[in-house]
Amino acid sequence: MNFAQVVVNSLITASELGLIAIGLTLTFSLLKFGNFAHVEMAVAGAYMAWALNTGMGLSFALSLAIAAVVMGFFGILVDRAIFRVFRNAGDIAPMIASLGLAIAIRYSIQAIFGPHFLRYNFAIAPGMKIAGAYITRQQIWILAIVACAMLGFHLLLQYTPIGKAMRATSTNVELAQASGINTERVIAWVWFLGTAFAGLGGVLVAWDTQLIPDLGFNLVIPAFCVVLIGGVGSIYGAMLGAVVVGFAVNLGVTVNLAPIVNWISGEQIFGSLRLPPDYKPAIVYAAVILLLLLRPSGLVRRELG
Amino acid sequence: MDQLANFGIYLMAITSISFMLAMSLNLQVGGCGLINFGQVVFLTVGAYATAIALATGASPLMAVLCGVLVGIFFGLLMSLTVRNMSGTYWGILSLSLAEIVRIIALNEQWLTGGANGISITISVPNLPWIIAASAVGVFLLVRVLVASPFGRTIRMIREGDRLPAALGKNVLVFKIETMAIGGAIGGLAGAYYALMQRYMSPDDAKPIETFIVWAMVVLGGRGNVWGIVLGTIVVQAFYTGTRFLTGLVDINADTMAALRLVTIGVLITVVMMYRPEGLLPERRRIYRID
Repeated sequence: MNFAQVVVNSLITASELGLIAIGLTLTFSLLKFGNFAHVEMAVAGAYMAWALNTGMGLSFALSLAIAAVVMGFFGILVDRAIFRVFRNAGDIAPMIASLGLAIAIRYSIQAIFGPHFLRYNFAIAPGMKIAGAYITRQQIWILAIVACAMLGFHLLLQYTPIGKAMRATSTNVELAQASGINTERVIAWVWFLGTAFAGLGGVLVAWDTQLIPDLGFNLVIPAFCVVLIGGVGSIYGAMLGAVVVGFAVNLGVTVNLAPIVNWISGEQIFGSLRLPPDYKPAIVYAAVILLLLLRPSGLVRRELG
Repeated sequence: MDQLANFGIYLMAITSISFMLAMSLNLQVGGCGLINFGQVVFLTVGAYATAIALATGASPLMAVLCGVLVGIFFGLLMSLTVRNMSGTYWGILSLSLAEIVRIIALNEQWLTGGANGISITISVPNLPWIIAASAVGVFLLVRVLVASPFGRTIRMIREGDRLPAALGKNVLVFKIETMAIGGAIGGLAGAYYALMQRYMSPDDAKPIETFIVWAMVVLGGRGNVWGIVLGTIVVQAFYTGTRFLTGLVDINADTMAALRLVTIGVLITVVMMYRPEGLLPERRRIYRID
């Protein structure tokens, strides 16, 4: 694989993961628990879009938009029905509850749609070559959609009253309340936006690869990894973290490790040493473990919501 | 009739294995407050160690011992990563660790047989009864352990690191000991699992196995040994009972399996919401000086 291809693949992975991780990092910092059900929202959104797209015959773009909005409201519903109970119950109880919810969502999807993989209904257009890297039309769309979503979120955060309230609440809940911010309203907004973005990200992942009920499982640790690299609660950190994870997984299996090993040992042991592609998921798991051991507070100092 | 009796004995053995895994998790979570989302790793390494030891010609007893030792080793390995990490972070870490072990088991064919798994040709006489007796032994051991000064100290650690540290307890040492004991019990369960199934594959190392054990502990009552007995029996009975239902109701087996897990998930969430202490809550003891 050439380097340009690695860059393209990494950017695609990064944009999908970044979109999904935003909601995770926001609820993590606001409600102080790791929501293991968050990535399942992405999968649920992807399946909803599939049902709208192939079942009801809507266009892919419309299905994607409807699924994202519906998932946003579903996020608020989940908070009201489940996580509101745990507002002052520490970090462990809601985390275990979210794990139960994750299992319930994943296997509900499997019971409804079956364990086999599904595809969206859209016209396949030929890909193109840019600077030696092959990129499909879908992937160009994914990059464009994610760029728009991120920019929109940035503008919302910086220039609207609700964005300011979100940043304030994420920095210090008590101070925000003392300043007259209705934090429950902010929390509802965070669930809406975070889950809608997760749904959108889920559709894009499934569009780029394939739609299977287990999709969420392949995303949960990478999403947490993105959050931990960026620092919990930092949206811009999450965007950066997604780029780091995207490059780590794609570079990890292409880089020739032999020179490094030879340099460490001082001898020419290997001519070529690459990580087998089957170990690709393990790179993120190992990265998470190292990260938690070395820098539990994240790599980026958090400054704003 | 004979068939039914055989099935009963099989069920007893499988329930005993689940029970040991649940006791191990309970010691970590209910005892010491260690949120282990990678509990399945003990089953995995215990089962593989046993199967590999048998394949190299070890006696069943030696093989089970191997399973326990490897379980202890992984318990120690995991405990070294705890330090003063928050529950959430260690949960993520332990889940990642268990997944790495599963990926290794899936890919290192020379050691584990890869996706095809590893078979055991030896059959141990009276195995179900040995397993059941071991489960009773584990129950008694953990009961003694939680009532001992060791048990009191780890419960104190569960409520926070600062007070035990102020009383001169070495928090890390207690966490390491808890994980070693938990690993030993989990490794034993894994060893029996391999002997009972006479087979081990990466499919049995999936994270969902961890969460089924979590359902037993959460439902029964964290920190209460009798709660774990109840939780294990209820979850296992539900799991096995609904398997028979497949024949009676017109639902295909795949859907039924998925619905079973939906119920497990809902169960965990609902219990955490409305009865976080479980069906049989831990007895709070109040100590008075006078």
